[in-house]
Amino acid sequence: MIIVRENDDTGGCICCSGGMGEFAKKEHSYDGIRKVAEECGRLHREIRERFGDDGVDIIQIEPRAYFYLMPKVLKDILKFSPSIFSAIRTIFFWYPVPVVIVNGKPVGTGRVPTIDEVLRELGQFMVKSIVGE
Amino acid sequence: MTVNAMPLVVGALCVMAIFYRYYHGFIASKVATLDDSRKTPAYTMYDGQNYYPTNKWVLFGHHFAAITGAGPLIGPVLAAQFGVLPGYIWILVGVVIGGAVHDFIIFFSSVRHGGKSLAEIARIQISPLSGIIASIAILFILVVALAGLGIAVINALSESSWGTFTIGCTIPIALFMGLYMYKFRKGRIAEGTIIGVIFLILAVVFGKDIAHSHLAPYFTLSKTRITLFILIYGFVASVLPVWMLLCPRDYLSAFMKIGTIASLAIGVVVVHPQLRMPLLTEYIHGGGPIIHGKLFPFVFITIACGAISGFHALVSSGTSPKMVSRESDIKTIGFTAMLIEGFIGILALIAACSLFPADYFAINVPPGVFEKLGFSVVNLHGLSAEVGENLVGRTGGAVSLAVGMAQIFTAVPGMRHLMDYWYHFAIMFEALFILTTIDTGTRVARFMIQEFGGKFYKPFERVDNVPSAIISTALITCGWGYFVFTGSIGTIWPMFGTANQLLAGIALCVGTTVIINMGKAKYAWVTLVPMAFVMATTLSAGWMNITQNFIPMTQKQGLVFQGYVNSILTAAIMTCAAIIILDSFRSWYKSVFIEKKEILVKEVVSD
Repeated sequence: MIIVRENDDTGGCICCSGGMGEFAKKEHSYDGIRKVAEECGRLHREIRERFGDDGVDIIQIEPRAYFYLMPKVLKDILKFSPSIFSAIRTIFFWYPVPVVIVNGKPVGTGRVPTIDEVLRELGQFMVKSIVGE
Repeated sequence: MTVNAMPLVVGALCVMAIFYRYYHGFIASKVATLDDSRKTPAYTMYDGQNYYPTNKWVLFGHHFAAITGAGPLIGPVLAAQFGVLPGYIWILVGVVIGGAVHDFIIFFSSVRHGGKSLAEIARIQISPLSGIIASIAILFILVVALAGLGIAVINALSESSWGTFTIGCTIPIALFMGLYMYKFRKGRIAEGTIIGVIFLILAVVFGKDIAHSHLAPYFTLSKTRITLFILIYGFVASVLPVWMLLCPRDYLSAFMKIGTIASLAIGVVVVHPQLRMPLLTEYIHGGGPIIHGKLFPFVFITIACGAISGFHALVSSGTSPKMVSRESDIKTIGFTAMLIEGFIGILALIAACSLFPADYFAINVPPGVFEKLGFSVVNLHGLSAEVGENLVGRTGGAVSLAVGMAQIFTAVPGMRHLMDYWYHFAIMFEALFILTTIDTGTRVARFMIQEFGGKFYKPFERVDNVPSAIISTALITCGWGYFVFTGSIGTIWPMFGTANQLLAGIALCVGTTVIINMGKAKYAWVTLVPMAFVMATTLSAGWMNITQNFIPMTQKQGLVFQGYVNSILTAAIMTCAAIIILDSFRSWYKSVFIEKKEILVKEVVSD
């Protein structure tokens, strides 16, 4: 599961300015980004509580880490074979952030999905894998 | 004698690899004793938002992007006045023994302190006084850093309609991206970034047409007017919401940074240019036209970020330690990111040294000074014609770096006739970083002033207090603006270098304290040696700057106030560093002798 969201405590070139760091918490204009980060944090915690440290592989990442994201997503697409449309959308980053990518398929684009939506997607995969077996 | 760049590049990579394998391996295993069974703050303070375990390579990318800015590009270019060797050796030795160790040890210390900041670690490990002094030093250093970087971009843009148009365009482009990504097509980061990059390239391309049109005079601005615009920009940008300008430009610069640095590295390897700059120049004995002091200690403060940078301590004790999932990852991230930054510094040095010395000096010193040097330009007029700009007297380092980079790019097959575009692309690339640094730095310094002010008048620290925000932003903008207006690259850059290196010295001092307090005093030399070197060179450079440059200024008419301000600021930063060193000595003495004795006494009594 890959959570793509913007960082709520960075800003600009940090070298030679130190970056926003802790001060980002004071900056009211970070409110929107911070709210999304909080919701992603909530989802992250809920998933970990449910599945433990090793049950689900959770990656939380910034949109600009595209060069890491791309091969990771490709790997998931090859492994879990989502629909063609989902695969194209995911590979070309064709969705608004925040987004949660579950087994190569975007879930809850532009908002942080609820744990039920994520579980539904995970459940579908589990059913598929059981039927497949 | 000319040298080919290739052996220097390969040699640097080999030295870095050997040091990483053996010396850094030794520090990681024996000094820090990284232990993967210990839970990192990502687990102990896990909240899924700021503290969460992150893949090593994701965090590496994040950390590297954060520590790399304009500093490692400009410093080596200015230090090329001493020749190829001083800069090359200092970057290489500095980065493997100083910079990488500095970044690693602060990263490690922060992880062991639950992801706390440098000032907090100083407060805990040394004393509350050192914590406060570290914060004050950071504020001073920020003001000087903004002035140092600001002057580089101002000198690159003055009297350049193409450059000014292109850089000017980055502001509406970023604003448009901000509105697009956060208002019109909310969350469409990828679309916004692609559109931004396309517009940016168009701004570079059409800049040429603007420069040859009737609009050119509107974009051909004097140094004073550019300075004024950048000051207004700094003021406005730092109070605008982050989503409007800062975040979108962050996306632009992130991709530009990766692309341009990778292209430069490939270009140097493919072209492997001859370095026309001699190995050593006559200016090693002092009297240089760019940096006036001698090789020792001035080369060590001219090249700051590429070899060792205090600002990295802020990154290493910022976001990265909160996200690292295993202690062993600190080795890869902390050391390697800095080694690559050193490598970028070497590439910048190569780009500058590939110019003929006379051309290099003609660009980097004012025409009046250049005439007295007795050089005759070799290819400068040809270069000026090729880039479409008058390159004479474009001090600050940014222009000669852009010319050097453009020369390397155009030597790649198929690029021959694109010199002017590559030059302006390189200028845009440097300015993009610097403007973002000005925006962030002014904003951070504003918060720091508001925090200090709040100790005397409580409402002042509230960030939503408009008068407080305006007063503190104005104070900071006027602070760095004053240095830009009154100084030159020759006076400001050494101050920036001194400040940055003193911050590194302070961080190494904190690192040494952490090692000693861990009961590893016998390994304290790993940070003590670079600390002693950095402090010795920087304090002597600071002292020489005051006595040889700034105090004589106070004797000259019209420069009295500037001389005093520069002297006082440099002395203040030096005093901050001296206080932290003395305070650390007290803490080390206590840890090594008094507490050890107390433990021994306890053992004897219990026996």
